[in-house]
Amino acid sequence: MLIAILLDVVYTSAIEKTIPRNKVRYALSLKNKHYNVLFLGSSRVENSIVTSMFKEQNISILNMGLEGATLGDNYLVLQLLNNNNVTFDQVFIQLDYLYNNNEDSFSETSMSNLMPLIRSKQVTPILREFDKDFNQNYYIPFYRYLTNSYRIGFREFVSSLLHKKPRISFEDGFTPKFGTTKLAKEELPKNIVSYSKVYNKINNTCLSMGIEPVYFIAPYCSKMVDNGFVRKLDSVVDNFYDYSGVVKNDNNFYNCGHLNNNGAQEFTEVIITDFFKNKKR
Amino acid sequence: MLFNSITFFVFITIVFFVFWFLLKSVKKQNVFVLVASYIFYGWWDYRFLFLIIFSTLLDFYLSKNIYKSNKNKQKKLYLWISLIANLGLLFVFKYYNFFTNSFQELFAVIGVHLKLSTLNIILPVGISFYTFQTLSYTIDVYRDKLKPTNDLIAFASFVTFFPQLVAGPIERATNLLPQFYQKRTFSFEFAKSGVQLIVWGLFKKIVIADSCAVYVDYIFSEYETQNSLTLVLGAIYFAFQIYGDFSGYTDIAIGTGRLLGFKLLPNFKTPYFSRNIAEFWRRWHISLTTWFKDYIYIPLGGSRGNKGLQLRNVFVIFLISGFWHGANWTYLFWGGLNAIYFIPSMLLNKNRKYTDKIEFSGLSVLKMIITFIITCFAWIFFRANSLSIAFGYIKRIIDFNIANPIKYLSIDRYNVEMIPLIILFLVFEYTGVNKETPLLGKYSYLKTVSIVLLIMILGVFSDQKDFIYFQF
Repeated sequence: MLIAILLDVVYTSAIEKTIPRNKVRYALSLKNKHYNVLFLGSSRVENSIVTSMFKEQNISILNMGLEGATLGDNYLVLQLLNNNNVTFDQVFIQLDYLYNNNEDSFSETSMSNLMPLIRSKQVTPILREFDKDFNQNYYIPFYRYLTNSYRIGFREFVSSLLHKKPRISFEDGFTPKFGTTKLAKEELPKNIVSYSKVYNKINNTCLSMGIEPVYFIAPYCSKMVDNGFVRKLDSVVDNFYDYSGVVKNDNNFYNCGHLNNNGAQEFTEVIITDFFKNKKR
Repeated sequence: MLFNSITFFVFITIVFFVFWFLLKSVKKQNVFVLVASYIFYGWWDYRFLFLIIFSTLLDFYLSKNIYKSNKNKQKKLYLWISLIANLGLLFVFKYYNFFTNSFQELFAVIGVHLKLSTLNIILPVGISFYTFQTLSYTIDVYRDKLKPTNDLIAFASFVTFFPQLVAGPIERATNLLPQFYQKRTFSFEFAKSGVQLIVWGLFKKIVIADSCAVYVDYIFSEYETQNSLTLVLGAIYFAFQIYGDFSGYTDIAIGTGRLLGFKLLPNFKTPYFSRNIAEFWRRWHISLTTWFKDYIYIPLGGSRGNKGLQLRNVFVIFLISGFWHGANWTYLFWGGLNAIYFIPSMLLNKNRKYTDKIEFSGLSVLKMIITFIITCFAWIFFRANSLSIAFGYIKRIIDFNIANPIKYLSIDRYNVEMIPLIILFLVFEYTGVNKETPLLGKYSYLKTVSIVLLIMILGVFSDQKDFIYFQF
């Protein structure tokens, strides 16, 4: 037990004091800032929205696409930013099959990234609400580091101790993919849920910030089977834009659901043209 | 119930205290061990308990009949019933779908499209292990090497003894069964050695095997996009994953047995320090190797007879060993490859060389490295999901794609990151060579506490994995 307490203190202080090493922690660190645009979504946003192209147009931007993110993660990031008084003119949210995910929880990644800060005023209420193992994580020393060892274990501890910079710059937020791997068939669901709890929470938070969010489906390769899902999504989501087929050339995809660098530039150009050059909105 | 779970920790704590402090008679302890073993097994899938109970009852009564019979024909009949029933169950659960699919594919080649139905069943955990254990009992009785027991509880406890039930060591009745009759007295030293084995086994599993598994799973699934170094490392990491996983399980099993006063057979003796493939097989999965030797290889003639017969026997034994691991051509190929490795030393009469202790002279180390390399090569077939993947994997290695060898993988780790941990593990293994665990000897308490600390710091707890050999 003594060892566990000691390790807990050492790990927590190292991770707390280091620079943010993931996007969730980066969102926590931002305070009283204003950006023109916020992008939320999964890796299909992280790999697809080229932030430098926005900046060239003098549009300040935050790409908060997270690999493996659920709608719950997007809601978490939005809440953290909102709580820290980070404001935006426009919020773009990627929606696809994740709309059907009605679980009111975060992905393991986001949960792990918050764990070291379980005792901070900002994070405790969030984890108390969403973490099923909150009591074990909060009261048993080192337990949260053991059960999340893949992301906040020894490796993360050493990197934090050395103040090692993360591989991607969060100020940029865009992580390009290069080349093309096998484009396997992707299939969207045949059915859509009648009510998406998390989508509604995101929507309400945006509205409370005085923003009408833009929802969009990011591009898929030609092997994607739509199953009529996009049409259904369009019918239930306000202000929805279908970009699923906007990148025609399969060579611009890394895999069927992710654009490579060329594809990302093509797609970003479309977004900038639609929303900032032609002022679609 | 996994050995590396909180559930098992609670389970063994309760079992330990009830076994030693509440139950005094051997009979009561045996009944308790049997009940605990059924609970342990039923935790996975209670429906398969009937298979173990069936196998237990069948071999218990058949062995008694074999012993009682005066006529050889009758003895043989009872033995055949046991063989057909036990191996029949194994065949249905483990091999039926494989043979059905293989027949369909074979006939499809000549244009005949058969529509054979396959079974939608899951493989009962540990079926290959307990089947071999019960068979060895019946065969030993048939060969007059063993007198059958009249104590059904002791026999059932022997068959289902929970520490080794699902992944061995495959016990022999001659070793384990008599331990169910003896009066037990608690030995602190024996129990302490058990705890040390458990700690060392957990280190191998949680730190070495599960850390390697993160890389291996990724590299083998994405082999088409990896460079040569990453693929070579993938094979090496798998070598340590499977060793850490399986020998870790064995150590925990033997250690758990010791907590209850039982001494189980050893199963691994630092196999990656072997100087040729024959020595490797004397140090790897010893209980299975000796099983095959005693019940198949020697009855076939073993190393007697002409070279042709010897070659046949070697191939038979290795192919069966491969097939025992799983119903897939990859395992058969892996077995065949090991036979090919084994043959030169057999032809040169060097397969019994290196039965002594391990020494680390210059030439010995070179031989160890060569043996390790060919073993890793064979592991590629063992790990790959199909032969085409294994050959594709090897082809990409020999493409010598060596530009930017150190690569950051999509699992957020560099391909070479496991190397320091593997070197550390090899140092531990080196200090424990010719010993049961590296934790024995001088400063054993300090070493044990240090390993516990290392488990806490370096262990993979977030992505808890099943033991690989459970699937066999």
